[in-house]
Amino acid sequence: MDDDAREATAKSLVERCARREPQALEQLYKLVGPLLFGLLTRMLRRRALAEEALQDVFVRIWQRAGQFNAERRAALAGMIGIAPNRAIAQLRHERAAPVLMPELPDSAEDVAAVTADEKTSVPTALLERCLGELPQEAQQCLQFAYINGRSHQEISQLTGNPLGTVKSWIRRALFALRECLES
Amino acid sequence: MRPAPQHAPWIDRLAAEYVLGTLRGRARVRFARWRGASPLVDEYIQRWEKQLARWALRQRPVTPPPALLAKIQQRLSLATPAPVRWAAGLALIALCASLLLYGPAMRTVPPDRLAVINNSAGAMQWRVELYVQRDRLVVRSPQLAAKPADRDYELWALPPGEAAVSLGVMPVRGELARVLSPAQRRALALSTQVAVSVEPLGGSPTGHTTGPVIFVVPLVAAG
Repeated sequence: MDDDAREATAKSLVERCARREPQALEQLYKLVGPLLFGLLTRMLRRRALAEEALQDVFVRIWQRAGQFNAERRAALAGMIGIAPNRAIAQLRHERAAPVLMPELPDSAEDVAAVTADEKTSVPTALLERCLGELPQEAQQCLQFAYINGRSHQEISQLTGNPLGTVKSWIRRALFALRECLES
Repeated sequence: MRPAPQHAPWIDRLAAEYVLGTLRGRARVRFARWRGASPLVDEYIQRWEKQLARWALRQRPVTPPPALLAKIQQRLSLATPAPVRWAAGLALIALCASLLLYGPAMRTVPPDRLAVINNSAGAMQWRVELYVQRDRLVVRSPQLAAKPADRDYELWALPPGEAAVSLGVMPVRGELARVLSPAQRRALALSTQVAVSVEPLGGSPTGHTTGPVIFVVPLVAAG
């Protein structure tokens, strides 16, 4: 299923969730659950935490379905947007219990390997091109932030670059990426 | 706070960091609150969400454990009449279980108690059925219930002399079966009436009615 078809299906299921049809939530879970769980697992690096966060995300989707519908939001983007909020909230609670045995790769090399693997999974030419136009370091920082849920501070530690430089790379890269995607 | 036009680049930058996930701590909480109050801030966030979602959609999916859906349904007080399971084995077990236990029982055995709620035109809007032995409450809505997009109808048990106990959000159309909690079972055992109130989406955030109560109807022993 391509992104447009998936968006249309998600939209229709969100509409049905807004009408409080329980079966629609089940179908929506099948449609976007694996995508959201993948994102949350990468951000939180622990399956148990990702499972908790995924529950929160779907409870929120159900509660806000009417709002999505009324405001004609992009359904997939809106649902994906909830994931970092839950992940960050979860990480805040878990700060006292640091991850000793991360279940997912976190080094720059490992993340690059995962990225290379994923590049072949769903090709999107425009995104590929726009990401490819960014400097390598900036692209890596964006990846750490958006896909792996890392903070500025953590990215600075992971890449060995000063905090100010990381912030500046990320800011410039974000706007360059958007300009390219919207052009 | 209403943003001034000259603040647009600043809001845009914050929205970018918010969606990227690098806006943290109190700044994130404040910005989220501002989003709720300002359609303009929300618009900036949505624009970033839309662009960055393309990247998220490329990421490799990970199948969540099958039991997670049931937990979500439980948290939302939802239980579908014929649950569909992911794994084939579980699907078979669930199907057999629902056929043997749930399906015939709920469809052929009459409820122990029921309440009928008619709309202003006198037509049946909801039929609330209580199956005491099975700890189940089934709400049927044979026709589409009109409601504002940002509100839900919520059902309440009314034990005399005590606070109303929520029985969950009402379906707008179709059928909804719920497993009752011990508190709901107790409240229903004491109640001779149920009520429907108008609440924010997802139900009352406080556990008590927050909107107008639009129906109070008797909960009677079924035939």
